[in-house]
Amino acid sequence: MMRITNKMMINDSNFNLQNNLRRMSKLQEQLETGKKLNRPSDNPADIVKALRLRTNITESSQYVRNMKDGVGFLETTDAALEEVTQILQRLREQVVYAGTDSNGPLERDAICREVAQLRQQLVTVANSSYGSKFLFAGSNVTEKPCVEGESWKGNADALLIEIGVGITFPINTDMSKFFGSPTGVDGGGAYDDGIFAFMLELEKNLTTLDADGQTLNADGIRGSLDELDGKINELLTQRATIGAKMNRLELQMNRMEDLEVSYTEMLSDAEDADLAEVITWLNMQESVYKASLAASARIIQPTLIDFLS
Amino acid sequence: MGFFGLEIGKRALMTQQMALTVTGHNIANTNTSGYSRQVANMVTTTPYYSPSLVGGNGVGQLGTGVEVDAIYRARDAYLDRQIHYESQAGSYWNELQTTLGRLETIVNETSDTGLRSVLDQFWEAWQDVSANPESTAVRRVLAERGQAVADAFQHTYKQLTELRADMNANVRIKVDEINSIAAQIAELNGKISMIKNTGQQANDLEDKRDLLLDQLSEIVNIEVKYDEKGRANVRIGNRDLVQGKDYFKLDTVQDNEGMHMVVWQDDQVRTRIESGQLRAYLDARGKTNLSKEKEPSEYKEIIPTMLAELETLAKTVVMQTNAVHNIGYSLNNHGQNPDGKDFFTMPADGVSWSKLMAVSVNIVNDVNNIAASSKPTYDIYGNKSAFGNGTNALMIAQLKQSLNSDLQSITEYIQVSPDISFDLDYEGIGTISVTVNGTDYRDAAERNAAIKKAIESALKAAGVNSTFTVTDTNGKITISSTDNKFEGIDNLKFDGVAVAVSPYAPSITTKALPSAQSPDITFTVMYGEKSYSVSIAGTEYDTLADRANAIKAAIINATGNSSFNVTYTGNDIKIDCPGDSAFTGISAFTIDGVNHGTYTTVPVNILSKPLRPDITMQVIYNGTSQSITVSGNSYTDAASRAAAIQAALETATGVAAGIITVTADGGALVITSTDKKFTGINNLNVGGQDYGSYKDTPHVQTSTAVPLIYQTEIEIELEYDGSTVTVTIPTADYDNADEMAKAIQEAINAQLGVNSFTVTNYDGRLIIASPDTKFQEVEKIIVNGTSYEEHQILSNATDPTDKQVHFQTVDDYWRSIIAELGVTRQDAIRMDENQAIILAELINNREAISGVSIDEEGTNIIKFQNAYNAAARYITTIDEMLDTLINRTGVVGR
Repeated sequence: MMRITNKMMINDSNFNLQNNLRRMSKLQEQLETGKKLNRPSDNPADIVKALRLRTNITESSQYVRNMKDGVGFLETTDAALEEVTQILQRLREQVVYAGTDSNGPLERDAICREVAQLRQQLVTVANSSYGSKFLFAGSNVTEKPCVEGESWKGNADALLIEIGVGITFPINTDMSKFFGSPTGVDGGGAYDDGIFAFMLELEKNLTTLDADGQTLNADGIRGSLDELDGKINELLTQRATIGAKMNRLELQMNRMEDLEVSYTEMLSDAEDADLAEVITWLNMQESVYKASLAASARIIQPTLIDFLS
Repeated sequence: MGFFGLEIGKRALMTQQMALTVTGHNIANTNTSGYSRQVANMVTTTPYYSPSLVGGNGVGQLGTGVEVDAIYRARDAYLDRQIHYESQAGSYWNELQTTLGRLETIVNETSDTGLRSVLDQFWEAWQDVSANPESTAVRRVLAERGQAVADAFQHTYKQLTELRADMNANVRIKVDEINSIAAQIAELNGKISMIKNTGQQANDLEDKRDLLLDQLSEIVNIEVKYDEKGRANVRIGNRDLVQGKDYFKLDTVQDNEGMHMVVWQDDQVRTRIESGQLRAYLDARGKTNLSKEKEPSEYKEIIPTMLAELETLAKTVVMQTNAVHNIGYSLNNHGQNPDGKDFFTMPADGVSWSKLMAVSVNIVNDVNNIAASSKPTYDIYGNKSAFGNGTNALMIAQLKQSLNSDLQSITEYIQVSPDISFDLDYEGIGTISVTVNGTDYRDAAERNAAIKKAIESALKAAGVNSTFTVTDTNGKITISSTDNKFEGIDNLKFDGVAVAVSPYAPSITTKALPSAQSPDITFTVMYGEKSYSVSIAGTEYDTLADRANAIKAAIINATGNSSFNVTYTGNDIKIDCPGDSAFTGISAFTIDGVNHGTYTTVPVNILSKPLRPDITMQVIYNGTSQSITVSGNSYTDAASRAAAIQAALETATGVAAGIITVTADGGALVITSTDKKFTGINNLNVGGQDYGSYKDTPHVQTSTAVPLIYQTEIEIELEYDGSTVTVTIPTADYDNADEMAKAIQEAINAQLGVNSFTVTNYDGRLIIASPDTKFQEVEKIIVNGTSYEEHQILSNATDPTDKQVHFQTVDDYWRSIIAELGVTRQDAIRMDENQAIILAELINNREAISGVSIDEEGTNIIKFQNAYNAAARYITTIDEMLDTLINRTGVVGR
């Protein structure tokens, strides 16, 4: 039969009180931080999951940010092209008007001035910017692509954003062919097919008179209507593409935002403490602790000495 | 028996008193650590044989009382051994888990300031730069984030090395403690054996020694054996630490890093430390660099492993980021070659990746030095051309996702455009050579611009300012100019290979000439009193005879007089009405609106012009000019007019038919010649009206179709399976870089007889990748003789021994480090708790035997007090007996 000594009881009490305190401090830490994972050893498997989820959340919010930026860029591009469309519609009216021979050189001269005005306006639109970027400059975003009297300064590079792991997405629209050089002549010195070349040619046709003081090439004016319609169609196609791109981005953005939410939920599952549960456990632990304190107090007090007279 | 009885009483008193003293000693030491309960062992004293007066077989031996023959300690040596063993393990695990806890604090996960979070922000910053490479603010953020990564690595590294230094200091402290305890044990051994030699017990000294042994067993693995003299001989790993009253000191030897190795002081042999706190420190700290250490290390190498893993991570981040950064273009790079600069500074000593990690100074000073672009940011003319290109930054951002599994080599931008040369003929200068370097252009538009610039600057060097136009359609390059003196190009060569050029064909197109239709004629016939208006439409006649007949018919029709006669001499028209004097003349004779006046002399003779306007011009042929006249009567329409002019030109220049051709394009004339000597016409005149001079402009020359990547020969040197393999891709044309990449891929796979290589074009860069571990690196790529050497080729993951992260992302790697640490500590905590329980149990067991029970001692007090009281009473009884005998006897009769 085992001998029980006072020190044994004190040791036992101490040992158990320590255990109780340790468990309480653990629960208290969970309650205070709101997390059940406070260091890797709390649950190595869950910590890896939590780290991965945190990275995933950072990533997806970055992608969402990229895409928001992209949508903004596309919206601005669309607005600019809307303006271009309006300018071209106005231009078309002028071409139709100028085509009728009832309009003599004087009227055509007035129309020419109007066309020149529209051309100025087009230069401004071609230089539209989004933040610090010129919309239509390709990757040469810091330079005004369209400066009168100089050749087109943009390039055909795509501006890529990443919208998912390894998925890149071009947000800009290459309009360099459509606009062409503001001088109507490209870098190689050749005439291009751009809208500026078209307008410059139109202005020339409107003002060049023959020996009789009549418009030299009225047929040319009338004939340009087809070309202009072609340009307008090209523009509409581009705008349709932009619309489709915006849809795709928004779809992907919604998906990414959904993912972010579910990642956040999973992270919370993995590392957040269930407060109700923790509090319940803590209360339970507290009563155990109190009981052991009470028991210790009783065990330690009396010895035989107390009863010796 | 009188006094004998007193003696027994005295012995009893003394014995009980001694037992009470022992009890008092026990109570006094209730809380003394290491104290073992003592028990006074009472035995009866040697019995006394008392001779009997009555007979030989009387009561026999007589008890002589009691005495304490020994005070022994209640102690179980077996339990002590067990406790020694378990406390070695217990203190080992306790110390280990505490150290691992400090490591957990250092790595600081899952907080938002841990390395993972900092790295996440770093990759994010690259994303942001890729989206807005032109923004200095975003670049600044990236530089800061990069520095934060460097700081995090440096900080973690510093903390780990400090922890290691702490552990190392602990090793030395514990060695000193062992020595001190060993000295005390040896001393106690001496004292104890002396006491034991006298046959006595050395209880309290033994307790002290046991306590020291307990303490020693927490520090290090010990084995204790007691010899016959009660001396404790202590051994550590089969060598004596304490032998009797001698002890052998431990010492430490430091390596070049100051790390202590525990050795025996006398012969400097390494001490085998297998357990206890000391082992925990050694396991955490790892082995020293000294040659006496075991290879591979016998220790867990916890901190060194962590440090090595941190270095691997840092090296991977630095190397990979730098490699891609090197092949990018910064905003300060005005040239056409990549910057070739590092983002992170490479460690000066080549090994301290974390400790010396820092963002390079030139980036910190000027964030525009961040090479975010994959293409030159300035064009060949020095104008900003691609400040918005963030592809290189994106490539770096994507390193985050890189599994580092494929062994891959990424080249810098490969120049595959051929050099162009040709001879240009220019009037007044002759032939000049024009060359365009392949490095001057990257796409068709740039090629056009480069050719234009080359021509214009070559002419400028010869003192001529001229403007040229260069275009291309479907690969055909067209060079033209409005400058009349441009006379075409010859000897067009792409990288020295001749390219056919369409023949030089001078051609001019004139203004629209007046219609070739014969003119309308109106006039009035004055006949008698009357005047008759006559009109002949131009469509009614073609020749002079027709005209005469038509006029005659019209007059007869108008006047009704058939005797009118119209004849012609040359161009002149003669109208007569023989025998009728009523015909007095013609007025307002108008040809095509030109009034030739009134004729009143009969017969009327109108001096008319040709039917159609005469055409004159000077043709310039072989540098000289000759006049040509084509009669207005020699053609009837635009086509015959052209034919007439062609015939006249052939006559004048003397060239064979078919060399110079004249065709009508509406009203205009188009004159072309396959003979270069024809250079144009001057003073084209139609019916007195000047229609200008023409030279064969614009001069136009068009090449045959030439692909952008033309006749390119590629040679690649690969390090494969330990040897260098040269793959030659035969000369070929490619429409674009993707096609070229595909051709290279096929060639490499075919040559090596494998299927695993992929070659892709990443915006002008070639990425040569393979999961095949035999593939070590790409040493060289030679494109059309231009060699791209190793420093221009990023080789990542080329060598499994290069201490970089392989086959996983850096994130994965870090997570696995954390997981490993977590699992190790979790284990250590569990072991620590288990040991604590076992130890508590064993200590309780020991307490059960050796501990002081107050109740027991209380009982003993009563017991011994009662015995003492009884003995005292016994003495009193004897005393009374003696009193009776001495004082009450012999008084009879007194």
